[in-house]
Amino acid sequence: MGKIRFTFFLLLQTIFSFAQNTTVTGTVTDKSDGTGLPGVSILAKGSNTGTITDIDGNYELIFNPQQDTAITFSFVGYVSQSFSVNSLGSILNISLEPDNELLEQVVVIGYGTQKKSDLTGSVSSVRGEDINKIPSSSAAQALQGKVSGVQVSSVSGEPGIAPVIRIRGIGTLNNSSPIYVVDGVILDDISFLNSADIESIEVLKDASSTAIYGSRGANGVIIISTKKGKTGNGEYQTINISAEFSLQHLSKKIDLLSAREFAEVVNIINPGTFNNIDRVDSTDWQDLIFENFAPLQNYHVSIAGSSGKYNYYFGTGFFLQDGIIPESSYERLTIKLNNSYAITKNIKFGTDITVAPDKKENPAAVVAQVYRAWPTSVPYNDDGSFAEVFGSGNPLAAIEYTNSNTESVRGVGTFYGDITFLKDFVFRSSYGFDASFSKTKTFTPTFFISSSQSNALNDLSQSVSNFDKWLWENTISYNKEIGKHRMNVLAGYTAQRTSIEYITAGIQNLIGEDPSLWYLQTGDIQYLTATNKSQYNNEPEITALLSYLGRVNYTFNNRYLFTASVRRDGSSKFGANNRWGVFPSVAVGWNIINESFMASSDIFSNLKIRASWGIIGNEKIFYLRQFSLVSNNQNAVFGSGEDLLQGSTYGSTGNPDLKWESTTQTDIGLELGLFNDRLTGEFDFYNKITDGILVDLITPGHLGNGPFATQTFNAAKVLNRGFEFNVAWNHQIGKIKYRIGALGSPIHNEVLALGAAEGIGSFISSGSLGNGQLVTRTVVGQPIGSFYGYEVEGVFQNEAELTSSAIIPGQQVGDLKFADLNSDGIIDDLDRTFIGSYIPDFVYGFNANVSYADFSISLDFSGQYGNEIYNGKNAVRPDLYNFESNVIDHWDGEGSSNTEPRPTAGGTNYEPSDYFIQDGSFLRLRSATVGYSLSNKLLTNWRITKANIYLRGTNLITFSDYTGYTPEIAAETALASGIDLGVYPLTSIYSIGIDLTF
Amino acid sequence: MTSKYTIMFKFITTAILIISITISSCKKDFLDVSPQGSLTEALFPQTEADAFLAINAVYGSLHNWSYWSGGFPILDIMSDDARKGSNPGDAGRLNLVDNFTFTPTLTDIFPWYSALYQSVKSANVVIERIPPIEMDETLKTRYIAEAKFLRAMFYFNLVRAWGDVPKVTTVVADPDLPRSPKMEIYNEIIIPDLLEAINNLPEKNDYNSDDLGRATKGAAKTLLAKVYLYLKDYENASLYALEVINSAQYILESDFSNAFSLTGQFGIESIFEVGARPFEEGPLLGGNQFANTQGVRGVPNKGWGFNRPSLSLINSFAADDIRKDATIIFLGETIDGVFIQGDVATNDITYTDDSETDTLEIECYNQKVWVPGETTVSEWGYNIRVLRYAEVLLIAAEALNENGNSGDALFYLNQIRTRAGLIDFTEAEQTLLRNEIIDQRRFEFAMEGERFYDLVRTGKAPEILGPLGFIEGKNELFPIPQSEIDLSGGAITQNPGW
Repeated sequence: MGKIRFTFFLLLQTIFSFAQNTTVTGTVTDKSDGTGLPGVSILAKGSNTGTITDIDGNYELIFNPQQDTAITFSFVGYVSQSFSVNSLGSILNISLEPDNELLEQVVVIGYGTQKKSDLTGSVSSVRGEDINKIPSSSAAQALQGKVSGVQVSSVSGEPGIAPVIRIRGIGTLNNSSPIYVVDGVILDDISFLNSADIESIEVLKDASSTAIYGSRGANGVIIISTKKGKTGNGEYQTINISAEFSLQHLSKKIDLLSAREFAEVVNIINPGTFNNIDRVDSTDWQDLIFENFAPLQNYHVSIAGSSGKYNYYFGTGFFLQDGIIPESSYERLTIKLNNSYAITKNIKFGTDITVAPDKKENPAAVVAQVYRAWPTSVPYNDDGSFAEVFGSGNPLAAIEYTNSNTESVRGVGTFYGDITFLKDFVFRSSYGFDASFSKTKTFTPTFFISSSQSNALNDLSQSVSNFDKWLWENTISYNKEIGKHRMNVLAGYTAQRTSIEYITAGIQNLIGEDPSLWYLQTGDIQYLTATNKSQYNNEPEITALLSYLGRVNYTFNNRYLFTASVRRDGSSKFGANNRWGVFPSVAVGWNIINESFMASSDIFSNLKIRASWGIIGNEKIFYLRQFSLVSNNQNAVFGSGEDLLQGSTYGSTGNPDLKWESTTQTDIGLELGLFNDRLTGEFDFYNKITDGILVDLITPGHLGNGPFATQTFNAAKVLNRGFEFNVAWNHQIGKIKYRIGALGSPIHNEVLALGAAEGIGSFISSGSLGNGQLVTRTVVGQPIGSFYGYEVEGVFQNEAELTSSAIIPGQQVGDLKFADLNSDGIIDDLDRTFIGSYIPDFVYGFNANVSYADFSISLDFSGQYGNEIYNGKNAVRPDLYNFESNVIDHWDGEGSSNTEPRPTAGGTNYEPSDYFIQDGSFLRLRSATVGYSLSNKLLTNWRITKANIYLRGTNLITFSDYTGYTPEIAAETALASGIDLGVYPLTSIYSIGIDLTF
Repeated sequence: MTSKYTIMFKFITTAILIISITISSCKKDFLDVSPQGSLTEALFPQTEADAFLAINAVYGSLHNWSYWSGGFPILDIMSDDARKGSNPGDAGRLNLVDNFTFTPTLTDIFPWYSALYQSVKSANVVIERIPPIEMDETLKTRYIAEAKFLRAMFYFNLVRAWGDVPKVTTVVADPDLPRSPKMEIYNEIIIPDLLEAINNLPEKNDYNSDDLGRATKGAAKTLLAKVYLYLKDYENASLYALEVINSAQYILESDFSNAFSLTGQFGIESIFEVGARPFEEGPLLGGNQFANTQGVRGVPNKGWGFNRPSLSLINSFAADDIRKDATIIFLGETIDGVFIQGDVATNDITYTDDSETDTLEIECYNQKVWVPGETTVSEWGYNIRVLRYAEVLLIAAEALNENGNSGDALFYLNQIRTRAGLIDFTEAEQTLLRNEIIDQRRFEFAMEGERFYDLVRTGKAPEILGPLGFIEGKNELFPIPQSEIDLSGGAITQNPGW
């Protein structure tokens, strides 16, 4: 009975209260510039009713003066204000003051955050709008031209392909990719991340900032923080919806011979091939194959908010890209959930989780085919069937008969608890995971187009891979400010275990070709035993890592900065004799601007110098190299029945002394702010020596490891030295705000040592063109993976020149004349030399943003200078293929050309030489955006606080002399990069997008 | 307030305690992750079954392509019996072998040297790691004896080719090992290994038929007789050869071609033979590319067509010698129902110059590696006959003649002649008989990789091979691969003249 009465009373009170509600209206402005502040949260304390300001900063709040005591205005980055209800009128205009403490940029560093001014290391940040500018599945694309010292190469226009990223040169002959730390989870790639879910990206470059990642930091560290619900903002909720639609278009066609030109050239090589060159068929294979406008769509919805104790961010995105090669595409769903809950003031738990299923339609390998196909061939026969295409096979048929799909799902997340104790200590334990499952199915039907393009028995290949990693990290940090002393101490312990397993199996002669039959048991079992060994594979890998880490940051009087860190890593990848490595760093900084003698300076607004030194490691090697393994299937045949009997013996020889590659890096930096930070600049000089680089060396034959068997040793040494600058000019004239920035970094890369001083261990040949030619060589004194071949001196003009010159046997008049560098009268391997490097001398970017009222324009350029490309697709010519158009100017009798040889298909003109080397320098308008912010009051009725629409062009203009689709030719392997064997063309992308915030 | 802190303090202490305990308990072996999907050396061999795998693998190593003179049949190409063959452009560097102008960097030398030592290592695994295993002692003794026979054979190949070589008798070898004198290898490895093999191996007929192909007492004696022949210890050479002859384990095949044919596999003449199955894959599926390398090129497509019988060989056979036709495949022949058309892309006749008067070579192939069928895969099933009874007879004949016993020498020699369809040789004068025996070795073992070594060991190489480019004092031995010298920093020295 009592309960009912109580409920009734409550109800009555509510009705009664409602009758007494009061309304207050007004505008909230920014105290610094007087503009209206949208999205300010206004809360009546007591009834907890609230609202937010509209796009112009206007609000209307209905509250209950009986119940409510005060009204609070709060907004991220501003000092909150409260007003007692007693003193309120019906109109309240206020202005909020920016919170300088908060506004000062806080930078995310390894296992923590730090004020930018306290930073002693070299850390670059990308945040805000810049993260989301490139229509790509890869968030890492955002770094191109945005961070000095970082080279991002968009290697391919293939949907779903990640760019190649190098930080401060190439520090190893092995895997040179940086690591990624996403919300504390250490990862090797971030293909699962939607850039719309990212709050900030920090690139850690020097040893002071990366040494805390120990054995994994040597190639640099990219820390990614995803968006979260914000604390300290009271109760709020924002919803963001964005949609972008793009069309991709082939940026550039390769200038190949037309049908008539081709026929002319072929008639020189093989006279009489074409009887009437005016009546040959003509096909432009590039026009025929590449889609004119392939769509790319990107949608994202997120909800972020807080209930005070509970903060949340929920984002879901869908990315769908069709490639410009038919039947290639990539689609990905990303689901992001970041929650945190404060149980008490001192105990907080949270989860950051991403789940991303994706699906990729792998393209047919037709780029080289399109390049090679005879323009005089036609795609179809009269009856509509695929015609035989000379030179390469029919690319349309290749697309039709290629069926390869990869489906995967990846989940990355972390669960953590933070406990604050004894006021200044925070203990954090986090358990992170990265798990993925991927399967690829490839089916080729039975078909016949010509004897060189056919498949006699249909075949199916299935491969699955499982990746599973957990990471448990425990840290205690201590933060204290006493008078002029400010310090932060961190200590931690982490453990990590990774397991990977691949299974591949294939079979032929399926009972039928319908996709419903694309499973192994429909095949013919006799092809399971006797066919290709590599079709049956089951490779596992399990590795474990243990670490202890510690760091001290100390600041005195905001002037003198000191940082020291150490990490001790133990990895199962390394031999029992060298399992543990220690990676220390120290750094100092001086905020000169805070010295009293600078107080009167009206030029400088920031002046800081810093220096750091440290040792970091690289542990990205194959885990089995330490072990000596038993080799199975060394089988023997015995008996009159010729039985196969299993045999096993000792196989590959491991090296139990294997240890980390260690990079010693020194960095000196200068940070500048002039004219009230209107001009800012950051300059770094670094010297980076990687020692003990793992190389596979051939072992002496008598050890019995077998022909060409190698053993891995810590033997090589590489130097990277460079300078980085990043300057920007910010200014506002009336309503026009603009910002101009430029950054760049020259790099010097040099191999200082390899395994042996002479003989076969003193160089590493690589860069296979797939025709038996190796075009790169790594030796002491040259950049890693330098191109290696003959120097072309000209073209043999006449018989006299031919007979008086050193030649390769078989060379004729009209052929390329190679330099006889050792003057021994013959051209052989000893005359090959270093003819270029894929490593640019200078990587740079610049950008400009201008806004006027509601309009904004931004332009981003990126480029590199001084690198070479080996045009391998032009060099591979065992057969007669179409030619690039320069062949038109070929040698045609004495005095005609001294650069273009007589047309040949194969032969000495295709020996590795600088004829195939091209300048890879380029400057590209990476992104150009025109935006408009709708400030129409109508939006208010829809409760929309912000609305942007924009038009964007990506890769609109490229200045480059390179004849291929894109000058950004890069490969993951350091020993052989910059070789163009036919890359999936990069596209120009035209986008329109809208971005709404509620 | 106090209680709240107390609770929290307890909570934190507990949490940290749990974490520390978990850490310290898992720490010890957390990093000792054993490799997955592979056994490490320390765990093998441990059982009788392992021992069986380990001894099989030593035979398995005979399926490595590089084991056989680096892959290509360069020993015959260097002799007066054969030329490079194949298509003129294919492996053109072998012309340098044919005319003795190759260098220590020739890419075929290193894989051969290295593959032989790889085989040595697999034998050392048996010899060193099987003794501690608890297993059937009879089997254990036999496995070790098999491995010793094989190791002796590997080293015999090493010293024949390179003379002084590093002496490796353990699984783990010193990387800085220098070369040991040839005689030390003979006296400390080859001869003792063979003597132990002779003591502990069963005769061929004592194995059951499933084990044909394993090393036998007869094989060990044959190899030892051959070793003594090379060492010019004719007493011992004839001793062991006669022991084999008197063992009643072997007789000559009545049809010469069955000494090599598919039907003659593991036959009555075969003393040591490498079994193979027709699969285009080495040890994994039991195939052997040896014959495919030399098989008919073109139509039928049996192989690459290397090792082309020379005009010298073709013209040296006596007219009624049945071995000529059984050794050489001529174009236009029909063998086992297959018409031999050959490679249309190469000339049927190659002349010495443009005038086309002097014939340099004619397109023909090695018939000893012929396997019936029209496919390459059949060639992979060819069983290499490493030692056969005909050689025992000729070793006996040669050794007996050198010992002054020409009567017995003629007796064994004429068994070979008779089968070849020739009348008996009756000249008992030592030098004439010696020359006849060497000639018979040429016709009997043509294209089997013996000729070059026979010419070198009998001192006839400068005279016969000189016109082909052979340089006395240099070409008796192969060069040590340049890479070995580079890797050793000079501790491994080069052979004279190279």
